[in-house]
Amino acid sequence: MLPRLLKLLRALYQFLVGDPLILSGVVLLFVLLVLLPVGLAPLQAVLLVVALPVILAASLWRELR
Amino acid sequence: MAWAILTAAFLASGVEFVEAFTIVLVVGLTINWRSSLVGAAAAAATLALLVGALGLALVYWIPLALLRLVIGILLILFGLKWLKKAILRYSGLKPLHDEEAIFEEQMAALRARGEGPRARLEPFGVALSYKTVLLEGLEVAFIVISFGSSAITPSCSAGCALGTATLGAGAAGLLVVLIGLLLQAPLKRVPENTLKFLVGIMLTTFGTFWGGEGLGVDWPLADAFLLVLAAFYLLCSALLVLWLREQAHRRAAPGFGSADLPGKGGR
Repeated sequence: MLPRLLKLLRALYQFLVGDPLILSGVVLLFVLLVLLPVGLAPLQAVLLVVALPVILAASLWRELR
Repeated sequence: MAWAILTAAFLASGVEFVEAFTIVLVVGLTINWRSSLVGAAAAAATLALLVGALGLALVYWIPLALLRLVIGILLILFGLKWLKKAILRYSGLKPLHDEEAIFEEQMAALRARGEGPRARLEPFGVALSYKTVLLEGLEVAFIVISFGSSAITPSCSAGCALGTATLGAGAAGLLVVLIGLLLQAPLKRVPENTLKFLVGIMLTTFGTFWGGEGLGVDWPLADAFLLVLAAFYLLCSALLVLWLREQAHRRAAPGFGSADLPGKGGR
């Protein structure tokens, strides 16, 4: 039962992204953005747009290493 | 008044149809048409079920902001995954995925066995097409309901107002599909990696836009901001390709073995 569940979770993870850095980076980013106080929408927008290329660069850098 | 509602619904729905059709088109071109059309048809069926069951109450029962947030996050994840692979291929750190050669090989093997070509359903393609069409379809339904409801007057009943808005949205959908069918042939000639790179940019762009809307961000220039986001991600990706190319040259220099280069295959 457990191995089957783990296999399913692994397949889901591979299907979703296949890269722990991108997955954790994007999820953490959205958690942070959701937690920001109401009324900070412009800051949320800037953070969202700027953070994604940074996450991508970090993932590429990791691949390179 | 009827013309005003028709035009407003046509223009507003047209933008949503373009967004949905873009994703359906790229899934069809880069994965396969079967997965793309199955996803789109399943989304249309879900939408019909929701509209049939909830009717005008759809506007109150569907948490569109939450849906945008979830779909936005998923699109960003898919987009960054595709973008990363395309950037690695452009920079020479990963071998180019020659799908045409693979396709020809598979066709030859099928012909040798006396079988015909058969497009397999790819869960990734079906899911991508499904959630995009569902989200955009819901937005079109919201447009029709809100525009139609606001146009109810003593001279134009609810049926008349909603019918006019539906007609405008339907015309926009038809026009977008027709233009898309004309564009499909030239797009097929774009090299595979370029297409996948552009898909990565588009998925990340749409994901950022919808994710932001889900968070309550009011983007400047409304839907036109998608172009600004796409240009920004394109610029960032170009800079990343240049940086990685330089790294690849350094690694190719004496002292570095080919084993240092990442070379995993796959889509």
